[in-house]
Amino acid sequence: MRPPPGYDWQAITRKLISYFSRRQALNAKDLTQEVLVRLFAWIEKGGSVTSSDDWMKLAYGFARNVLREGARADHRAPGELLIDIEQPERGVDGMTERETIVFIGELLRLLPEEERRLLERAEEISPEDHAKELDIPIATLRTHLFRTRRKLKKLYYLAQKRDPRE
Amino acid sequence: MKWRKHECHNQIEIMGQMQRVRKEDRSIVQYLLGTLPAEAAEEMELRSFTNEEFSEEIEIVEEAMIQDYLDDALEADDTVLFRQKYLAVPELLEKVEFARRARVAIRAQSHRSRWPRWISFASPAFAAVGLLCLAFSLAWLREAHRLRGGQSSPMRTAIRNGTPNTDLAVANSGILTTALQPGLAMGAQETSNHLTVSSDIGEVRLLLDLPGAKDSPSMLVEILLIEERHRKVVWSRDGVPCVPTMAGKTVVVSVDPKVFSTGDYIANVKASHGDAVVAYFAFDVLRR
Repeated sequence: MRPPPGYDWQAITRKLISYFSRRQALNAKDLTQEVLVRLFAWIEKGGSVTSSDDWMKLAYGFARNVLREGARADHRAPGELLIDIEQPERGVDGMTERETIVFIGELLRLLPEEERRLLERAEEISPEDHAKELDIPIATLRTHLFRTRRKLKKLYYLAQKRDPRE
Repeated sequence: MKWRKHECHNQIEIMGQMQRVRKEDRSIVQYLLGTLPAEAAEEMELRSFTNEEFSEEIEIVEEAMIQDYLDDALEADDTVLFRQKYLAVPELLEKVEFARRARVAIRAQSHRSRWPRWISFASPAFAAVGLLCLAFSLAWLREAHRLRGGQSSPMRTAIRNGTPNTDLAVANSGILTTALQPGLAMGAQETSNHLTVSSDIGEVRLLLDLPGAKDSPSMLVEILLIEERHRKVVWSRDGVPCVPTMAGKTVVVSVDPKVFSTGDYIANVKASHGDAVVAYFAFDVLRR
């Protein structure tokens, strides 16, 4: 099997999960798995692509088909919530509210000072004032905040996957 | 831009209530909420697969939308769509949950880092002085109450008689603050607590007295609209901290006035994560 040029399984997996969840598929990870299997099968049959764009287009095409097939098989009544967000007992990560908050608080300390300060300031003042304070456009501030929050989220998931005995 | 006190799980912070989602993000928001026409949605999806910058832009708008939802700053229609989708799909719910918890953690850190180090060493002393002041104030209020012959305070009388509650609102901030006593109105002589929520009110703050409460550090508060055949939960919040008082504890909740329409309500206070109602508070709302 020859991997296509510019392939990045992680990026594809991430995009597929986002795609399926935004399309309200309740089994986004299973559907992503299905697309990846089909992509592998396609490559094994001798399929090849010349650019990263074509590879992504192909993945999207498979995803759309899988979604259409999946939509016929699995459907939850609209508006049926998984948990009551206002009264969560155990979050989707299996930790209680307090445990997660304390945990995230500890992870915040791992961020560089300026990034931690950026997040704190965003909770204290309006985005307009924050952007003025930093002397950057609001759109740039929003991007900085997004990337910092994404970094925090990555730390959170990395830490969760780590075996405490290691 | 409106400014208001924003209640968090363990502290009260000043927050700007301002929409982070911009007008130019509208088509992405429509896509995320599932209201963009199918053809346009597919175009957007294909672009997000092939264009990394655009993919990140969608994520940025999604993040902004989640933050707006957590601030109650989304439009009403968008809030309904958001809840139907983002609280129903596991991966999306995970994003909302993480964002909410991260904000609480960040605010807690921010709160701690604002105080000079020496204050943290002296915090037990500050707490003791604060409690003493509170105790003296309450004792003085009780004495004043006794000297008036046990009459209700003007504030409570105003609530009970249903007089316009401009007297009860904190004048300078558009915050309507109301103290409620537990229990339901009984008999013809009693009227329930009455709130007039006018359009200039930016926040309704309910002080729920829990006489005799000792143990729970925090409570779950639910507000139910009493409809003809059933009760509908219109607002709830877990982990609301209890403030100790001489008589027990008080729970303070800040509620967006949009939650209320004209009608009868009950506020239930429950032990955190529990089913048993510790106290309930009946009141009615008139929207103006």
